[in-house]
Amino acid sequence: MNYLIASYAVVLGSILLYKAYVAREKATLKRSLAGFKTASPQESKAG
Amino acid sequence: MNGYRVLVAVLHKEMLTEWRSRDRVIAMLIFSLLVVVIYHFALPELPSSEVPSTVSGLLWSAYLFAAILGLNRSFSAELENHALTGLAMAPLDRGWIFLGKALANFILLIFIQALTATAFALGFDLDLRSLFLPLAGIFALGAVGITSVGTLFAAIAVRTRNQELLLPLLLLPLLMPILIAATTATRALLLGEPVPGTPVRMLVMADTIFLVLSFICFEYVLDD
Amino acid sequence: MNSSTTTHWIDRNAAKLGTPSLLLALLLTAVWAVSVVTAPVDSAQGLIQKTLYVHVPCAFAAYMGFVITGLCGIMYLWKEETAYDRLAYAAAEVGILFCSLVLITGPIWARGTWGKWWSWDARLAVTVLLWFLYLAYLLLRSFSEGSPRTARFAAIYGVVGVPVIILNYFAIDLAGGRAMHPDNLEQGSLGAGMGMPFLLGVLAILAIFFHLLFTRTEVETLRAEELRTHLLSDSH
Repeated sequence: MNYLIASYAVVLGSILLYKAYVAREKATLKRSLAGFKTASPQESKAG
Repeated sequence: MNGYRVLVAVLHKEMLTEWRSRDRVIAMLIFSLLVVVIYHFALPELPSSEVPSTVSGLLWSAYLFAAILGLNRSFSAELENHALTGLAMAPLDRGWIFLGKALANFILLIFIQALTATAFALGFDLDLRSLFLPLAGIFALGAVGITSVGTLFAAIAVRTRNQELLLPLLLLPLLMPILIAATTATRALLLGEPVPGTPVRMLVMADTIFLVLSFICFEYVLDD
Repeated sequence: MNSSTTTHWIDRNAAKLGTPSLLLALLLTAVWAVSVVTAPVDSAQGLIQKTLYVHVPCAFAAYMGFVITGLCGIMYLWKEETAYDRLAYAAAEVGILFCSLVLITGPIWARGTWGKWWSWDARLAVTVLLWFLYLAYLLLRSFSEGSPRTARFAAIYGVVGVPVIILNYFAIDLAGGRAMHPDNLEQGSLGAGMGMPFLLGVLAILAIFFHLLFTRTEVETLRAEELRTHLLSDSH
């Protein structure tokens, strides 16, 4: 029983961890891209 | 220039540079003989009945490590003076350049295999003379597989960071079918059984797949 | 190839399918969980046999990932569209995740039934080799510089890797690998009432696999886009 719970827990835990990692990467990149899009017109005005 | 002449030209150049420096062949040979000595010290004294079944595995792992050692330097000369870029720009079929390179590595490996097998025969008291032809056949089949993908990924690894670290990690998992089939066949021969059909077919199959894929893929390795 | 105005179908669909595949995965996982709990207890092995419903589907997902990596490798070498490389990369990474899960759940199951963590069983050995193969793939990617070169090298490795998977199966049989696994798992050797949770497990894990694959691909798409924006702003 314990072994059974352990194997399901490992699988679900790893998937969720990986999912969280991918979601964080995605959020960081989106933010950085959005920042670029708002920042670049001002930069070109200043230049 | 037709393919055959490209092959001969590359092979000639390879053998000539190897003959002049002899760096690679000496390093490979000393390394593979050292492996024999290391196995002698690392393993317990084997009863003579177990020697044939153990030696085939030892032999092939020594070959594999020595081959990787040599393959690591296979393209390093081309990296200097941008000769690899020159080769890539030459109006030649790159598959034939690959075959020339691979054939040179094959000849080198066969040479190492023969000498190492002799050292094993002396060190572990095996009489291989009666098995010369079938053993040579198995060695050659294994060497084709090792040097075909070996040459392909040597050309790749040489242009990455940490090439010496990367090549064994790339090659060893790929060469596992060759290793398994070759050790099985060699073990059967050393045990005095007839030439085994299944591992030999397996070797032929793996060699064919590896040769064809490497020939095709080499086209994309040099593209820069 | 003007990728700034027209996006590749892979990038488009990966972004679009993220949410639907998540919903599908959640739904299937819920049904699967119920069906695993209510599945009959194996008469010989007891409860531990229920590991099967997650162990084998994970293996399917791992193979799926590596086959996608190989196919995308061929497509990349042929079409030279970077989207194939992004999908190949994502598939290898998600494939490694599921392959690791096979290698973790397998020994847990073995420990529960045979009393020892590891045995050099044929399929286990093949899976370990597979794991090393694609670990080397990821290492090759991180060791090579310049994106077209990385993509080309990785594609070649991915393409050569697929026949090796098949060859390994023959090779290990030949080496006389002791088999602990039943051979005909798929051909109805499952007891009564065990087919459904197994099937649901496969569907749920594959849905999770594709969800992770889509979002991971999307991350690569965004990364490429970010790189392009950086380059554009630098050139101003």
